[in-house]
Amino acid sequence: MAFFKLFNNNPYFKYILGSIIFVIIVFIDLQLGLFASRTVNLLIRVVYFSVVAIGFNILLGYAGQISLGHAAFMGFGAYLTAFISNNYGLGFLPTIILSGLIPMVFGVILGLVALRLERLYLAIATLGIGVTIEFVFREWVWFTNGFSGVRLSRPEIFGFAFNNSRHFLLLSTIILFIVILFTYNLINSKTGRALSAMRDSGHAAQAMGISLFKYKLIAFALSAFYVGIAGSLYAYAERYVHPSTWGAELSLDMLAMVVIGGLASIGGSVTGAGFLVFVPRLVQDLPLIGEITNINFILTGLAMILVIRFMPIGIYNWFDYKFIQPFYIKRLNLNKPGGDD
Amino acid sequence: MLKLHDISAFYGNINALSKINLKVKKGEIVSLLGANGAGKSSTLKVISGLLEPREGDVFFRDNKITGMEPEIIVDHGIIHIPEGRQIFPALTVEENLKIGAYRIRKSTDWRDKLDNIFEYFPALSDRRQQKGGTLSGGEQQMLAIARGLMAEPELLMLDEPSLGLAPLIVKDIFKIIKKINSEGVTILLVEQNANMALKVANRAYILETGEIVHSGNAKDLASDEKVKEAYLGSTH
Repeated sequence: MAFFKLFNNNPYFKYILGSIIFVIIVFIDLQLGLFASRTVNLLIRVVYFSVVAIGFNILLGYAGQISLGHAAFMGFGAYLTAFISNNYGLGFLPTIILSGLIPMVFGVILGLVALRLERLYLAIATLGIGVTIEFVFREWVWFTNGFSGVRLSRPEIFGFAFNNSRHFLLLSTIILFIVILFTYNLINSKTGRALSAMRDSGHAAQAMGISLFKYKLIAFALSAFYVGIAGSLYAYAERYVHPSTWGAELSLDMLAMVVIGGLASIGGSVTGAGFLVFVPRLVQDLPLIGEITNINFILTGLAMILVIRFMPIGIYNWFDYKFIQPFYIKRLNLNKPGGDD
Repeated sequence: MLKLHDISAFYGNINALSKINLKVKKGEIVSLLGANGAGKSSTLKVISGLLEPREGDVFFRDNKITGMEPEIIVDHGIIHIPEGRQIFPALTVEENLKIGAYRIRKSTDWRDKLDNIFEYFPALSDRRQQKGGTLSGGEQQMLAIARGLMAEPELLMLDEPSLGLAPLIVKDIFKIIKKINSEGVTILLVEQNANMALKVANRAYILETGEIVHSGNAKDLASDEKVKEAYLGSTH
């Protein structure tokens, strides 16, 4: 009873517990080898795409700004990681932080563009970035090694090399854990409320003394930072970075994750990332349907349409609203449901 | 306290305000009346910095505030409650109020302020954790006003607080406005409901296509035949 109450009254607890359980499962897997190695690789993808989706959700879900060019930041982060670790031999932690900070600077520049443009026009302008970035990476040979792509070695912290993908899964899960807790605190701080106020009504936010200039830049900078870090995790996980990965499809996938999982929700971001990684993989094994080429694009599009039509708050929030909240209310005989993010 | 000197403002090439002169003294309730498109809301936007005037100056307590960023003007103690309520629907009542305290001066604790506000608006107190968007129209307007009060305004500008509300609720809202004023907050009120506005106001200005055509004591204006005919809908 007390346990449920704690759960319901403090969503923060829910995130901590969820993350700890996830880390423990991964740790057990490390010792016993629970998952097939294919599943481990998929889980790593879910983890770094979760970081992407959380970052993109800060921009789209909380701040109400759109970008269809965020794959550029992820690619930039990935190339930076390869570049720094190959040329300067920095360790994992400084590399991943630099791979977030440098895209963040470019995020601020994109934010300056966003000050001038709104909604549809912002989407069009950023889509331009999303379409061209692949070619930029292809031609920028000294940094990206052009069409051949770059390779890099496994990460190392204090002399411990993460030679096994199971080890790396544990490491990236811990990073996701930190990202989730940081984001939760951010969203429930003054900054988070100011971002939501900007999304709900720009005029009213300004009239309350919130500087749209400042918060648009903050939104773009933060999301670029998250996405850059995710790019860095990508580089370490795949150990190979290639320009064609960072096309417009990836930017649209980011949008799909957030819409399918749930706007303005951390749990939704993780759900969306899981959906986009696992569902196409599961369907590929099916007879007949699995043989259709580009089935993953079709599925993503279909899922977006269905989610927007039938559960516009996103899969995670819908599930929470339909099943989890009523469960608590029944258990605790509460009259009012506890607030989630 | 507030002085507008020869303000002219444009939306593109459309002239919204031409040479507006207006004064608000400390402790007053001043109403701006006029039909749709007369320039009432534009006047408030110029004062709060959302619209930059092409000519003229705004003075607040002898400081020139023309062309300042809206958030700096908020720091001066001018709070604008925009038309159509514009609360933040996805945030809870309490979060909406916290945003009101965004620029609050450090000396006062916003928690004390919050308790004060809930005494003013008991209806909101019961709905602390409810999302702003789920409130009724009247409650949303109260929330908008409460949010404005959180910022400790010296001058509170209300844009059509009675818009789309039932007559009984409008009465309540005006009662609250009077009460806020009696506690020392100067009020600039934009209204279409001229009857109500003239009842609570000390003075009033009447706008017509971006110009001030009448001004004076609210009581005098209310009994002025011309004004009655044009704005109060009196039948002969």
